[in-house]
Amino acid sequence: MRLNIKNITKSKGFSSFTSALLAIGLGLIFGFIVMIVASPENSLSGFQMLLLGGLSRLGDVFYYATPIIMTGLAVGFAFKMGLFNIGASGQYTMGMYFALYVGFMWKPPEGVHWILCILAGLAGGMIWGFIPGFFKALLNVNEVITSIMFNYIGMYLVDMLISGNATMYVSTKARTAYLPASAQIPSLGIQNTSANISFIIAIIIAIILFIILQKTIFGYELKATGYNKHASIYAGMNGKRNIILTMVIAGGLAGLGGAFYILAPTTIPGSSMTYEPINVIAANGFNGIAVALLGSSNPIGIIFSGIFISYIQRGGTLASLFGYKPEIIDIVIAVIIYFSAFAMLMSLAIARFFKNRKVKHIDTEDIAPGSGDPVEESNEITPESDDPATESQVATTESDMPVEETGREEA
Amino acid sequence: MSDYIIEMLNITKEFPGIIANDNITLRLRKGEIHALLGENGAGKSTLMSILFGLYQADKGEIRKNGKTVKISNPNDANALGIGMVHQHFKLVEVFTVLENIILGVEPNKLGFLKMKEAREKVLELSEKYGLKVNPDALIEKISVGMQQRVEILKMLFRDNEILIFDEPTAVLTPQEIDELMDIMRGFKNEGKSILFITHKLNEIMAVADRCTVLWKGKCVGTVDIKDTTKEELSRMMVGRDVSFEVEKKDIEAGDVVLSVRNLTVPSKHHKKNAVNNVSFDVRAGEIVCIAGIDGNGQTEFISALTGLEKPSGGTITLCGRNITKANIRTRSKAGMSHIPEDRHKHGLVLDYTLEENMVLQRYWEPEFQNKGFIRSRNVREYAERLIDQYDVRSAQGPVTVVRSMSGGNQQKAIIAREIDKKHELLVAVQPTRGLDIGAIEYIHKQLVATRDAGKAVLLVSFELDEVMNVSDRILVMYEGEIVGELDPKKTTVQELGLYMSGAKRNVVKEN
Repeated sequence: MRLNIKNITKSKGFSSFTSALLAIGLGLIFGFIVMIVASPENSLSGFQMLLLGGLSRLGDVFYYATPIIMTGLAVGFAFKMGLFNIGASGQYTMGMYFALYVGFMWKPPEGVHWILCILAGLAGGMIWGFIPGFFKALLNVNEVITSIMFNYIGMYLVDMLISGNATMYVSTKARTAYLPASAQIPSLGIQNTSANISFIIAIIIAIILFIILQKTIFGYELKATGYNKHASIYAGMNGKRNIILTMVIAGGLAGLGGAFYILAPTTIPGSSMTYEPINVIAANGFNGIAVALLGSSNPIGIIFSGIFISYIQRGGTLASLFGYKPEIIDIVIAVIIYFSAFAMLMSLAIARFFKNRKVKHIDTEDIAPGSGDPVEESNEITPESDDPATESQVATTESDMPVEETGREEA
Repeated sequence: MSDYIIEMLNITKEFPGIIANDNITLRLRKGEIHALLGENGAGKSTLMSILFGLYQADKGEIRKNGKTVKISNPNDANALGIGMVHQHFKLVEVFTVLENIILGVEPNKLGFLKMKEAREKVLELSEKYGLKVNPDALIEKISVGMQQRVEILKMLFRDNEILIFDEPTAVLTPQEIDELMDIMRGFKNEGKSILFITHKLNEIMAVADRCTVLWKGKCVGTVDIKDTTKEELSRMMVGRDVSFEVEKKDIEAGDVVLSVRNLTVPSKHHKKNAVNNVSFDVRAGEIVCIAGIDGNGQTEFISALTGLEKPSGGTITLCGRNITKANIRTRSKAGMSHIPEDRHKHGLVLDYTLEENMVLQRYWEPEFQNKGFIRSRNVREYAERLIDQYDVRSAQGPVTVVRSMSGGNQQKAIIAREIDKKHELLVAVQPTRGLDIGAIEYIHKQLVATRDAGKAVLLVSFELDEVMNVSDRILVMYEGEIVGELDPKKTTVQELGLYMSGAKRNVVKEN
């Protein structure tokens, strides 16, 4: 029996991994086609750069992966409970602002300054996650609507607060001033990049979330609620508390993402990352949706999908050296991400493929028709898929994220 | 020319690891009602899915009027005049009856709907077969019985002449079942042929001409109903003798465990109260059954009793403790176990494994968690014990995803969980709904065993046989009120029916 279980988990992981690869491969092919259409003569070298360029900038890959891993976790974690946290952008921006505020306005001892900044970012995101969670839990207001609105509220609020603060804002340059070095997160030591230890912190956080989901009763309740809200009520779980808690955690994760991004050390001494209050919603929040989708909301999967998307973005930036307009590169990246999102559909297709092959291998005589168990199962197979429509239903539930979300991200 | 309108010859269908249909032959005569009988998992649904084009057989052929046909999807089946009413209806909830009926075959002119024509045809059909429905009612607003009529009208609208009914009576009240039987006889008289999947023997005896029995994927045989008996059919179906009587020894009822006083629950559908001023007691060591036709306030009453909804008045006392306002967890700790009416909606997290579902009511207890971390070894051991003790069958034991299990075993898992949990009162709502005879027999035994162990059992059931056989005391609920208290030993099904339909009432004694 034990061996059996192992085999199954193995094959499951195998199929979802291969399917992600397949989807990415397809995405790359389509991206290549877009590049050929845009500029045929440069397409080969451009595509090569897109694919391999990230390797020469690994530090940057890690740096840019960090915030989207965090927003990816913010989206994915909430989704495990069946909540669509579209507000990662707002939570991210709030985290950024809180981190900046502590960075500029507080003068704590040297060694702890950046830690306080990070904690402030966490708090900022938590507040912005708490509000939609609170409304959802107590008044049953759809969290999608509140969190989208709070993206705007957060962004305008932060832009207003920053441009009104003379210490933080340099009006001649239309951006924030340089953060003091004590507020910057220690570097990872890779030359010429902003890569810093927050990348490692992000990975540790993802692993902690994975453990919470798999091993704790909070994770048990959370997933039970996500799978079947009614059953969670029946089992006496405190749904309201869990909704608020989940949104607070998700908000905190996105807030950390903002802090990690803005507190990064820079390559030029005396400078820092800056925030420009230009009334644009932070893209990293929405990228988090794509990251969560590609990682099928699994914290460990999200680490890899975050790194992958960051990697392809770096390659894309380098590919613009071959005369591609940045917009074309953005389209190519979007196409790749979009196709990657089909990974779950692919997973189904692959599973079916293997199933069919297995059926052919089964030797009729191997199965004792008298034994109760297998036949018992057969009935269930029937009602589960006794309609072509159910099959597509399976696809939507399996793919963890509703299609609208992807659409919204594009828009 | 063949005698048979449909012949399924030597059908074999394999799924990974199992042979769902093993060399099955089924012949349907024109104008007959042919029952397909078998336990859950016997392969009935698979066989019908093959006929309806949802699956392809690995071996064997299908003939219509002697000619071999290929049915690769439901559209092919439809073109051959084969229609099916699924066990779980395929209706668009927010559409009207009429819109649902024409869905997929919308009569139109240049893409514009011709609703008037459709309406006339639907009304004509419903007149002809006595299928009264309001074509403009929304599906979500009509009863399950009505919804089934819509499904039947869908087949008729498509001019189907071979009608497959997949366990059509599982969701119906006794009256609705009778009406359905009449409708089926009407179809037969019109020359339509009916395949009727069921595991209820009474219905087969009442309406079918012939019956094919499947057992574990194999065909046991086809018999003429007039030459057979219920006992013989049940033996063919489960491969052994089954007792229809529930064995029960007399025991003295003990102390009052549950006491309900003047409980009133508002309705979500209308302004009147769904449950009105209900009072009764349940004692240790007795099974009290709330009988009644579906929709007379039972669901609302149970929701209020178990804490899923709030009552607007009255008190609930469990073991001397007022739990009227307590939350669900508190009730559970106070000794209430609840086998819910809808096992998929409330009873199980279908995407969780069997072991995770086994601890659904207890995961927070120190036995299963330590400082918030799940003690997975204890969970596994506990699940294995329950699986073993209650004979819950599944493909991979504790790690089976519950969704992949058969309905009977899903229900067994819930029953194992609720009975094994420390409790004084077991609330069982329709615990045998949709299950086969073997599973029903088992569940009844468990209920009686719980009672014999000195627990109080409150059973809600729409099945008259169950009400009469299992309970020690019957309370009849009609329009949200308890209208009668009966002793199953001294009453008859007919008398019970009178109470259930509101034609008769007696005053409930106050204890």
